[in-house]
Amino acid sequence: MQHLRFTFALLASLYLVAAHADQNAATQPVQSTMEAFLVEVDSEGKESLQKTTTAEPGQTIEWKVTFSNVTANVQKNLVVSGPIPDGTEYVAGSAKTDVAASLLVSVDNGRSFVAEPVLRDVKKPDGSVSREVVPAEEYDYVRWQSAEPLAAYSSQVFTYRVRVE
Amino acid sequence: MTKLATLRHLSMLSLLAACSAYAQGPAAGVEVVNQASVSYTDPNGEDQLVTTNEVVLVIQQVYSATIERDRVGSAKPGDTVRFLHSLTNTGNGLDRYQIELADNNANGGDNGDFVNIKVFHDRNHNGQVDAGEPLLADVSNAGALVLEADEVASLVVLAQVPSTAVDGNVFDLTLTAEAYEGGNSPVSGGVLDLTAGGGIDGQDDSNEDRVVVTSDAVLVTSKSSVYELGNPTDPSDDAIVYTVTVSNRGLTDAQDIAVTDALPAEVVFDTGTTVSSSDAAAFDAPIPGLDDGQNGQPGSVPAHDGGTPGNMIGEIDVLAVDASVDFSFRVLVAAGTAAGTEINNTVIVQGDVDGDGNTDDPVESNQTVDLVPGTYGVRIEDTGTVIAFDPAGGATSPAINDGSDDDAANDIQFVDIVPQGSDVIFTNVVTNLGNGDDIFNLTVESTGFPAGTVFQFFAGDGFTPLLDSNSDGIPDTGVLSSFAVTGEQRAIVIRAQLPRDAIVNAPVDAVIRATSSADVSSPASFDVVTERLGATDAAIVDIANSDTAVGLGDSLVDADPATAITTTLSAIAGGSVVFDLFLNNEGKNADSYDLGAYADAAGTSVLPEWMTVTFRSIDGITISSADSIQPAAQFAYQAVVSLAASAPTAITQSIYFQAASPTTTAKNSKQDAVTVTAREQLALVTDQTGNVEACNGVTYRHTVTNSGDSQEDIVIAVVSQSSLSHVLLFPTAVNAGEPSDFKLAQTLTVGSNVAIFEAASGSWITRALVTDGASGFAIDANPGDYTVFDITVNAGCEVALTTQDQLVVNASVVNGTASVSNTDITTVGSVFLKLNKLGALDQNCDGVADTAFLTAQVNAAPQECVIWQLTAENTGPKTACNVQLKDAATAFTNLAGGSAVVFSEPAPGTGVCVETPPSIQCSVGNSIDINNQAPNEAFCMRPGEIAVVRFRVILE
Repeated sequence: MQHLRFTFALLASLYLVAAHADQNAATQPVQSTMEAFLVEVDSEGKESLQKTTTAEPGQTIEWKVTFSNVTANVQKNLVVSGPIPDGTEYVAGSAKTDVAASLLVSVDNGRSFVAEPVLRDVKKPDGSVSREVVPAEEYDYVRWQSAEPLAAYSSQVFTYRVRVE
Repeated sequence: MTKLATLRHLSMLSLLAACSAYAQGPAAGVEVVNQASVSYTDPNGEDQLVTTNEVVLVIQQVYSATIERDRVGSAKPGDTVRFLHSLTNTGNGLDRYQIELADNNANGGDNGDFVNIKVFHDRNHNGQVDAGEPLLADVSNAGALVLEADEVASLVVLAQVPSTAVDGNVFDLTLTAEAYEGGNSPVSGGVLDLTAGGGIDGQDDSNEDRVVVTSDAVLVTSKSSVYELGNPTDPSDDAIVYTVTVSNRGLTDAQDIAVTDALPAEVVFDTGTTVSSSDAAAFDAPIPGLDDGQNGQPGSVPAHDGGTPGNMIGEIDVLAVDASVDFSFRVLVAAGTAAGTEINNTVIVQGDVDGDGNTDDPVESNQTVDLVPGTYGVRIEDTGTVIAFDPAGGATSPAINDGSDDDAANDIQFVDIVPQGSDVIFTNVVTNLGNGDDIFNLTVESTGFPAGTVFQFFAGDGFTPLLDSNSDGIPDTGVLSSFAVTGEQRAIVIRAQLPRDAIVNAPVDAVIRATSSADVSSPASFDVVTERLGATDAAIVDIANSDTAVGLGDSLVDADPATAITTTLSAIAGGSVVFDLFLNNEGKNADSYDLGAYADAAGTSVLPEWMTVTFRSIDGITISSADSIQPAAQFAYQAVVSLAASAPTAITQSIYFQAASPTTTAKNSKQDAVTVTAREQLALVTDQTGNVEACNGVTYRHTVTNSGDSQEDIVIAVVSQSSLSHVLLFPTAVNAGEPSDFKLAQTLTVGSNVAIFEAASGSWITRALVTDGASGFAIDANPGDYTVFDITVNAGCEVALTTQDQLVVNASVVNGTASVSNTDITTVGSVFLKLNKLGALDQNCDGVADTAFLTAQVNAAPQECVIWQLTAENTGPKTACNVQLKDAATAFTNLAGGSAVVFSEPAPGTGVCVETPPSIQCSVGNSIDINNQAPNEAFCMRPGEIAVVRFRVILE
């Protein structure tokens, strides 16, 4: 599928996003990878992660994002954005990293990012307004603002989980 | 659906299914695609964006289905009863089901078999078996159904009661549906029986129906619907006309039959229409206006109760045996009802069927199912956010290029100005004007941006790339829900990546098109928006000799313009000068610059071969570029201009120093100059050491050379002598090509001839002495000319043995400062060893001299070698023993290991050299018994014998 899309981009337009295929080329000072793991829990409640390329409705998937600095220079002000794909729901409290970073989320398709809990005003039938917490299932993105520079030849790892609807 | 569209569908057919409310999540085969991103600030201070690989999860199929539900009905003997069931595929993919009928149920014990039982597929959900609707199974033959995910099959079971049945008989049947779940044969338990407790049999996969034979009235009701499609692009004017029929198929009249039709939430009663009936009077019959039943209320044609959505409520006074009444009414599809929504409706009738004055069990009609068709439309527009100035920069600073910049809500996203080579960030808002989920392809319809501009589409966060979620080769918004349904609007970001060298002075536009991918009509629904860039801030660099130069740091003024020389420095040929330079990045982005020096401002003419320029940082590190200079930052560096020894003199050469960015093409030149002055240089060889006996003299020959590049008048003078006396002699004639006829200096005057080796002719000539500007004379020498002179040091007869004399002779120019001296050291004694040191160049350090050993001063380049030759001669009348020659590598040179050798000595020779870097020590000569007392003395040189030692040094 990716190949078909790339071919089209070459034939039809100069403006498409085919360039993305090269964005993570070896020349980039920061290399990035994303992996998907199926989260399974055995009868004793023990959790295991299995790398996967498939999923079933109801299963939990952990997205693992790794950024590696392949240069001798320090990269600063890292902002990591992880989408919650359609057909999946964010699992509350599942965003993890060992990096000192603040977690933000978006419930408006990335137009704005705020810290949890996300509040919204809801208008009741009687016209009054009450404030409620937006459930994690409605998140569209998670985002980390790293307080730690990405040191030379080092990596930072971020994970978060979704449940397939 | 409010999330970024990262579901990738295998075909458009699966679009609606995949985007509807899933019974079991995403459809099987759908790809869930994810891609994270990171932005960071690199060491140059520039923001960078990196995206990960795409990760694709293929959704696997899960199987699930329901069947509902057990039914109980009444019938008179011989009648055919309809039982309505529904089988729903609640899995996420297509499945096949086996359908069977059995003329009993698990409990057994009914009163016999039906005359026949059959089950049909009620495709139009009207509860009837219409022409063309297929028979699925009967008691002898099983059948099969294939259902897509979320698809509902309405099943109608027709069961004919035997005419011999009597009141109170019961007849049972079982409808079984088993799922194949992707296999080759049906499996048990895959279809959930929604009847409480699994129904009569307590099992899944089946419903049980029962007919109770009665002599009472038997109420039967059915319902049909007709969907009226209004404007295809406007779902709000669609309507549904429902028709309800109520019949009495029993053996007695039914009374006080309440008709209740609870309208579904997706419709609104059309108050502009009236309820119609083919026989309205039948609702209030047989005596209009009176209660012909028993509940005290006269019958009434059903009417809307005014609720939202409300109910249609009416009453039939009396429904005679085999009589039917019907009514129709119209409802409007509620605004905001999504495409693909199933609008389901049933009607319930409930009356007194046995004449006892009590209301009996309700009877439910079939369920009508109307699918709301899709409509399509899209709006893509500018943000309309008026941000005239950068809030952080004040009222004179253009709005920041962060995607929020716009000037008015006019379908043009206007970014005032960006730094040259930047990504221009436009934000647009996409609205789905259709009534269902849709995916909108994003394309650049036209562009007037500079050639090479690359447009990329991102989600509203500006970082996450928009992917090709529907695999049609075009990036898209992802699934976007209907604005009318959910109120969702989606921001997208378009980054126009300008070529680094592109300059925009007048507004340029690009038109972005958003096209519905769900709309299969041609052309599909679309909308466009214009992205406009006002101008670019040019990348600017400026260089000057001083950090206080006027205009340095001011993008409007060129400091030290190349039209005039700013700084002129002087140097002799072979010398060098250093220019201080300051470079300022006067643009808005970090930039890097190649440093160059040329003979013209354009940088097209190279400097003369005799002039070379190197650049160095203020730390002394050689550089060829100034890298990653931040906006408004300054970089200090120096240009070292070196002149070859062959450089012509008395000229001034302009040098255009240049800083040029290879990426933005920002460039600046400035003009400086170097004046090449004449070089005064003399060479005088060599320092010498000798011995003299009392009452005798020793003569040292020196060579003086004009080694500069200008004519000089050279004065030779002994400037000091410590102990002995001397005389100075010059050659006054040339004999057989050699200088001859040496005469005392005091016998010569201005105008006297002196022998000179003329470089121009390559031969010895005589030339008249010239004045030294005082009372003495000087030697007229052109560049390369040289001559020799002798100094004879005399020891008086009374002088003490071992007296050491030091004589300094100086050669200097009359007009200038060049001056050079030799020192001759003479020791009074009985041994007469004379030592001479000469050098020769050995460029490739192979130990073989490239020239003869003529001078005591050798010019060599770093990593080249010089071979030094020490010559010792016993000029005395006696044999000298323990003769040692000592020397060392001078400053900035290193001794070439193993190079110290006794080159020649009297035969047979016993000389040997010892190296103790940087020093060498060589003993020369032979073993001789000079005092006739054994053993022999070592390293002896007889009178007149000569020994030569050589060693090699390498210039650092």
